[in-house]
Amino acid sequence: MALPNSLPPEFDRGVVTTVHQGECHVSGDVDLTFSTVLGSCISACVRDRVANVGGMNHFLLAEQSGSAKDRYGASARYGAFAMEQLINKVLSKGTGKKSNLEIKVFGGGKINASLDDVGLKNIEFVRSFMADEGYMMMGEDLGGNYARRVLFKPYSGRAFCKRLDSDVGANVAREELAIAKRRVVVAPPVDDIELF
Amino acid sequence: MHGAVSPGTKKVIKTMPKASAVSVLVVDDQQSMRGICKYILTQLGFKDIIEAKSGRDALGKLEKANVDLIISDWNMEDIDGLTLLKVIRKHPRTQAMPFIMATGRSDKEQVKEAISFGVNNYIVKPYDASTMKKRIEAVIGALS
Repeated sequence: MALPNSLPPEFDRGVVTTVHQGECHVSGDVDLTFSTVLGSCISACVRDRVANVGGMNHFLLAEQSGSAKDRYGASARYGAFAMEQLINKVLSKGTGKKSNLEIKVFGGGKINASLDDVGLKNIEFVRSFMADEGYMMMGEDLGGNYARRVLFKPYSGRAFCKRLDSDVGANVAREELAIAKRRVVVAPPVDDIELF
Repeated sequence: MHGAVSPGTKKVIKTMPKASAVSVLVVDDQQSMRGICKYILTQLGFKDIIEAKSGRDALGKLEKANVDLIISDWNMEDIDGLTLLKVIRKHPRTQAMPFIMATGRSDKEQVKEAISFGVNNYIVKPYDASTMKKRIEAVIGALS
């Protein structure tokens, strides 16, 4: 997909790494851009402002029942893990000090009636997580009836969010609906160590 | 179950422990992760759950409370899980205390290092109640 002309120049050069659902990437490369497309999903962009290291995750809390209201249910556990994983990766590549972190969050759109209020529940989760952990939201673009493309420069911390048209949104909705139907809520941890 | 931990002994609990009688110290610098762990422990029947928000906080709590089991995060800002384990294993009063390390990935080298310093077991996040039960029972015995 060609990037729009209105894109700030710094996003229009270097290497672009796509962050898919369930992934988490961290880098301190000045020329790198993380890119993702979000429907109901959430992406957090976390950066260590002193070390100039940052990362992006991309997760979907797919439960559509009332269970997402249970703050410690399977869905919320997965979200908390996705956030912790990104924060720990940035801390380990950066200064290790949480006070140096700046966090921006994106997504949580309502792009398909079949996905009910999943986007809203994702937003509730991420706001609650930020408040519980005492992090300040340095920037956000959440909710609405559209999909988004988010670009993030981990070195500078600059983020660019573009609202996508309904055709792209429909494709994103189909993909997210497939994930929700498969109920891929909690990825089984890689736990192949049998040392005990 | 207080009083069952005898410093210097390897087998800490010989009889089948009752979850409600086991005192657990949950150490994690993320409030949400402590909440999740506490929620799962409550599901498993544990009632005496103490929370520590850092490795340093855990050492303070251990001075004041009788603890039968520690479940600690690895990555923490002040004293990390491995350092906490080393300190606990050096202190005569806590050296035999059952210790489960929770972390985000199963890094074999990391696990080996933790084992060399006396960790009793290891749990990978995101975990559920059934995995937690297995790990706890592997350390303190089948829960009654």
